[in-house]
Amino acid sequence: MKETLLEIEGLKTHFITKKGTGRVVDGIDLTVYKGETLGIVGESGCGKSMTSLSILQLVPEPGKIVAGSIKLNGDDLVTKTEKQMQAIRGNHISMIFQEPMTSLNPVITVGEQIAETIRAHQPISRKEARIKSIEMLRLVGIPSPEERAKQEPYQLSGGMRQRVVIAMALACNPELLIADEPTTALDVTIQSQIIKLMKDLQKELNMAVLFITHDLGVVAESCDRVAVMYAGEIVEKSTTEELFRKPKHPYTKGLLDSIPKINEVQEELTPMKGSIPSPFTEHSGCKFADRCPLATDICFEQHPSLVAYENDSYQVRCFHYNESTSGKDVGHAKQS
Amino acid sequence: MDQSLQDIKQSFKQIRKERRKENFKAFFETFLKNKIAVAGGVLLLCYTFVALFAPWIAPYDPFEMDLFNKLQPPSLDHWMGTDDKGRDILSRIIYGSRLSMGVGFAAVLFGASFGIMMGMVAGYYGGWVDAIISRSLDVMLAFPGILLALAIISALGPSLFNVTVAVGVFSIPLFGRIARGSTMEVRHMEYIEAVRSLGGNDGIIIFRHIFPNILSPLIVQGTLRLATAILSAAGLSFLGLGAAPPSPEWGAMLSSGRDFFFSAPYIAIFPGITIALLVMGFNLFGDGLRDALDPRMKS
Repeated sequence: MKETLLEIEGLKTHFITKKGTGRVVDGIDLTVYKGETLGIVGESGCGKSMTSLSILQLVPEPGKIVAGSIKLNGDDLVTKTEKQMQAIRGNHISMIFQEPMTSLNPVITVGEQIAETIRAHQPISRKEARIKSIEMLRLVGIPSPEERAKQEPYQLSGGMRQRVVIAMALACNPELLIADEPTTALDVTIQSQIIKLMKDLQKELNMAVLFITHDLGVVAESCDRVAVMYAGEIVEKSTTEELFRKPKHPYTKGLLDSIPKINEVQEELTPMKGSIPSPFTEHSGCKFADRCPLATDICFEQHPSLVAYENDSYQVRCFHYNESTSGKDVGHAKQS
Repeated sequence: MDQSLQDIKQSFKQIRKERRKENFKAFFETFLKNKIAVAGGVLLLCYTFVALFAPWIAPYDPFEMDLFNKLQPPSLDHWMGTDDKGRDILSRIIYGSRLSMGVGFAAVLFGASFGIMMGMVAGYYGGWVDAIISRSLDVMLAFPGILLALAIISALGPSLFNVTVAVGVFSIPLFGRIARGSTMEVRHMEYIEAVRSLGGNDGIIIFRHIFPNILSPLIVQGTLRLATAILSAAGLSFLGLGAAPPSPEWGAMLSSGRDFFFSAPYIAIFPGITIALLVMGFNLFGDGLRDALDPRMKS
């Protein structure tokens, strides 16, 4: 029923330096189905951006994909040459970045920038590309696109620029759009406009979106399924509804607890202790153990694996989680 | 209601238009405030005008000899006097502007195109490509410019074309280093990564995206370099390595005036002043450009 578009298996992207190996992405399995939105959530430095750059084979030096496969429609991208990847980037998989202020070239008009992306992938004339670029600007809701196309990025506001960036990314009708924190740099009203726009376009163009963010509010608004990442690993994967209704991994719980709730009186927020471990640290046990309120001896000794529960409807990487405790406060696991 | 909305839209449009104008205006205003740079610019315009319209401006044929009127001091007939073969010096200087400025422009164009190319490739790819290109630029930079030019000309033989090549070659490392540095700075910008993530290849990235972004320091350097190039070319011609005798190249004129320096100093002085003024013009103009274009120099 659901067709697989992108399948990542055992992806490991490591930074190999003289000081040691940084396991930035450490064994990730992900599946993106056609037309859906999959969110990847995690705090800064957990490897979510590196995962997206790995998909496009754009991992910066000295990073390297050391293991795993990334299959787009069954075709492994890891083994592709740079030339083959250039034909895929922007055409089958596109990416939009966090900062609309800096992800457009300041000295080229926005129309030309869109036209150029189209011409990189389709054998059409300059004029046709220009017409298409104006169409794209109209599609992303930019008023008077003919005039806007002739403007340079500094003449547009942040929200407008992000729309241009989206127009550029969607110009060749990609099957997968990777959105790396596309709304983080925008203020809240523009944020919701952009999310709505992305949703509409997704439906219209029937593409899948891989939404990378640290903002759980954005996840709730836009994603069908969510994968929570911590220190290069996925610790929990489920539908968005399930995740917010019953967070299972203590890390996810911590993330949700640290957000203010509108219907409760809270004197103080509950922040999570500590910070994400450096990718260069060696772990024999669970990577979250140092910060985990439930951690017991086993957590420091053995590395938990991602276990699927209830017919694979969700997956959790935690020793202290089992189906019998689901729904109850995970805190009880400590005593049992 | 609709009317007022239209009005607001209209006024926004107006604001945007003005903002765009303001950017150009800001550049011109900064530049125009600098009176010395403007003077340099006007000087250059005059020289360019003279070079372009030489046949219409020059009162005499620059090659026509008039042995009855040789070594004449400046007079109403010959404003700058005549040389040892009775040729009108003013006319020769006017025609010579085409040669001297032409050699300067050609040399800078030559040096800049190779230098920028090498610099962008080195800065963009980094690693061993950068190491090879940068080290070879360093080697060229280690030679004093004029010495390198002398070596090149002694290998190629004296001619105005070879002077152009020689002066161009010793301009390469200068442009190379600037282009390399700026490229390294721009290469890590997010918009470059964005182009790559949308399938742009290295050619598109280097020429369409990096090049226009590193232009302004190169334009400034190009202007300043023109002064050096013209001076060096004149210097080489003075040494007899460039233009051959009847040619009205300024350096060559200066050289031929040397023998009569005490009896008829105007033969050497006027070409000298001409060269000095032009070089000064380029330097003043270039400095002004840098102040107006470089945001870091703005107070």
